[in-house]
Amino acid sequence: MDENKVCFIICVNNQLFFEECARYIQRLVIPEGMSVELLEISGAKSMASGYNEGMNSSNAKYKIYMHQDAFILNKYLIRDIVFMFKRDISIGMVGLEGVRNMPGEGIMWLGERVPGHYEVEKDWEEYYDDIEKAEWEEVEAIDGVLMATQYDIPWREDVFDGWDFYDASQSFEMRKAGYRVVVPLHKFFWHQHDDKPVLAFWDYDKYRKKFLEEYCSDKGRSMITVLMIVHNEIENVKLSVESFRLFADTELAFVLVDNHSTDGLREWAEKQRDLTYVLLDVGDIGCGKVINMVRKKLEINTDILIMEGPYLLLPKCLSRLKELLYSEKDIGAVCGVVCNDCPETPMICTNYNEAIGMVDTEEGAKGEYVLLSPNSAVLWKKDYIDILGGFEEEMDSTYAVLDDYCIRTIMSDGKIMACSNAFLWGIGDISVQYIRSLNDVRRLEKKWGMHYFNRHGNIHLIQQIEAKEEEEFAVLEIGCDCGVTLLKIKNRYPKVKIYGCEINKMAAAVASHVAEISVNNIEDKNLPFPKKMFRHIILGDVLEHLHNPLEVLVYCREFLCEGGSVIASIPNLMHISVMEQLLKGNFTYTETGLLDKSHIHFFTYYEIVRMFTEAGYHISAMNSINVEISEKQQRLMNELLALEGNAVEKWMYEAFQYNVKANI
Amino acid sequence: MNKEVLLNDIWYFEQNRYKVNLTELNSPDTARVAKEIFRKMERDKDISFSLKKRIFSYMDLLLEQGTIEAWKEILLLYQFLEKKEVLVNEFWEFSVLKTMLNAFETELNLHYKEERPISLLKICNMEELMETYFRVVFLLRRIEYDVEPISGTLCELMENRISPATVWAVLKDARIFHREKVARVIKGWEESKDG
Repeated sequence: MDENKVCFIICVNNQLFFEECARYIQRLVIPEGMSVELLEISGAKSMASGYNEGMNSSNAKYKIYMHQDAFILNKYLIRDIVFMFKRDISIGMVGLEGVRNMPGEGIMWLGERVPGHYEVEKDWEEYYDDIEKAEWEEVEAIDGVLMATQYDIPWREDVFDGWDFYDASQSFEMRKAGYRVVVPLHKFFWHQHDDKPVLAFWDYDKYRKKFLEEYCSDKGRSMITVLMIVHNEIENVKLSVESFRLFADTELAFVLVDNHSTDGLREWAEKQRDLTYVLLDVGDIGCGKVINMVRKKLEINTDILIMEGPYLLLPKCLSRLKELLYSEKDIGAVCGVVCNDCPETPMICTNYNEAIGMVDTEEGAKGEYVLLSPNSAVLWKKDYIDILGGFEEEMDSTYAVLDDYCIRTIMSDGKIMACSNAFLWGIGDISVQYIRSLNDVRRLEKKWGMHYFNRHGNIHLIQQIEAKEEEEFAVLEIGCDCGVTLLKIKNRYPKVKIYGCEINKMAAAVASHVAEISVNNIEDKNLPFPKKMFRHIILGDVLEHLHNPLEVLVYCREFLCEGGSVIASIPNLMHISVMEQLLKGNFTYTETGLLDKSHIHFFTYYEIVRMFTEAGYHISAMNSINVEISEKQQRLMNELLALEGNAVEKWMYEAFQYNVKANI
Repeated sequence: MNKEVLLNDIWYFEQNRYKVNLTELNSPDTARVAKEIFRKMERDKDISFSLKKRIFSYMDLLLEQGTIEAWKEILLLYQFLEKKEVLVNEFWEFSVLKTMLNAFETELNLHYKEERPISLLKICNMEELMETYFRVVFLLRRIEYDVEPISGTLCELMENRISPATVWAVLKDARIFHREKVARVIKGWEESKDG
């Protein structure tokens, strides 16, 4: 290796250009003691292969790879570049133009350019002082017009076998090898280039995608496509689009899917140059089909934020969703918080403007694992969409389609997260967005072979757990369904070990992705866990479904550690709504609720106390969940209380469900 | 290759190309527009290159004739392509062609007014036309950046029988930053040439 030699390496397919290019190189001032070599690479298969050929055939320490149509104007270029390399040996590559941060789309010229603005030079001699202060700026990638190196790193001709993205690739390779890539902050043009700029992007996109795949796929820096499905809400849509214009803090493409609006939305949307408008004119079709159709038609190849109806964006929402989405490789989707429709929101505010002011823009993304999205605004990772394929076309509502996709994600070992500080504001009739039609529920049940698609977990039971956040203990949930309550416990106590027992094989299969699950009927008394293993055993709305709940409670004692407890929720048969109907001679079973047709046993407060006592527990806490009671029911309660005297208290009629904590 | 076949090819191209409004390049949503352009380029690549090859073959035939009528035919064809937005924004060669056609129009006017010869008629094909353009750009740039003594540059202009009309047309369109500086030199050269 010749430490005092500079080699110019140029791929040539036009002799006229090369000769002119060489004319400018020959005029360069060569620092004392240094020598210069000029390598003409003809017939290269690709820029990267040509540069590898040049790199391997020169012994110069410093190599300058440049375009044949670039003409060096700074005659002190060799001095200036070698000076930079010698002053900072961590600099691997110097370019004349670069981008501070590579944009998510991989399009260098969309990013912030360095050095930015040039002054048009007046005299050759002015170059002499151009780098006097020796300032340069670190960049992620440089343009291929001129790339000077002091270390030989192979060019990726295996991937970049054309004429595009070899430059960005080499910049990333250099940085991967631990070297810095910089651009001198020169005031004047150091080179002249591109006489007739045209949109020569014939293969640009092909190599852009290769570049993203090779270098950016795990960085979460790809673009978001916002896919908003709307119908006849022009004013709300306008507000929503405006909020995205104001607060979008990631690269995005906005696609407005109009489900046959008749309120002038089309006329307005078609005039908006920063969004893509898609009119659905193929009749009434389901949400899954719409998403698939739009993805295919627009060739969407990015992460997608699917939104049913318009939402207003709040500051930092998109960047936090994205940050969380890429915080773990296995996260397939992230949803935000609709702060005017979330009981657990940390932001209590009355209007959108107030909410804007309340967002703490300094903090990073915070999140917790969920099974199903609590709202219909979900950001999906492109990689997972690629794995899972199209959205379910047999279901109509967005909510059902997203639920189905969440389950598919989890079954593919992916995770769903809710970002607790990525806020949206719901406008229009938010509640409509959360409705799964009965047909969709049936379709979900049929497809997945299970009946419950709980998204929230039983917070009342979780609140009965008394532990410190960092404490290690084990919890078993009997009848855990898909594991949503266990997941919520895990979010609250990261070191907890969670176990489940579920009779439904499909629900158990989903739950097995979040906890250790045993598929069995608890009444068979064959739990595969060691005795005295658990601090808590949770029975959420389970005891009433059992043939012999007392025996199960006795059996559970074997698995509780010393001081352990059963935490259970049990519906109250004595609730005034049941009494009201009973007095009319009705005891009609229903699909869900207190008289769920699958209930085998029914309980009142006293029955619950007796059962736990008989099973050898002492009840350490018991509270109730109440629901709204009508005036008529109030009157009836008073009349019933007058009949029974002191044996019964009013709260026994008011309690819809009891939550019990019983220790051994 | 004849004109009818070529027009038919252009019509076919128009029917099959992917439509994107390139004027939207000024849109604030550059990323989306860029992606639209990528999509267009990817889809149209084969038919664009094929049509460009056919157009250039036809233009080669015309240039080979070395007549004013043949150049007028090229001018009309270019205007037709420009009006239809067919390929002229996608291949740099058309941009060069436009500059050289401007030069031709100036030379033609001078030919009619003062019976001056039309230097461009000696160009035999598109490759030579492109080379002439770049040769002039390079010479002008040498003047712009004082790369060599001006006399040497002007001498090379003379040796290559480049007309002042061509030089002015290139100076107008090429990426020359110190246009006034170069224009002064060219004006002096033109005056001394005429004198």
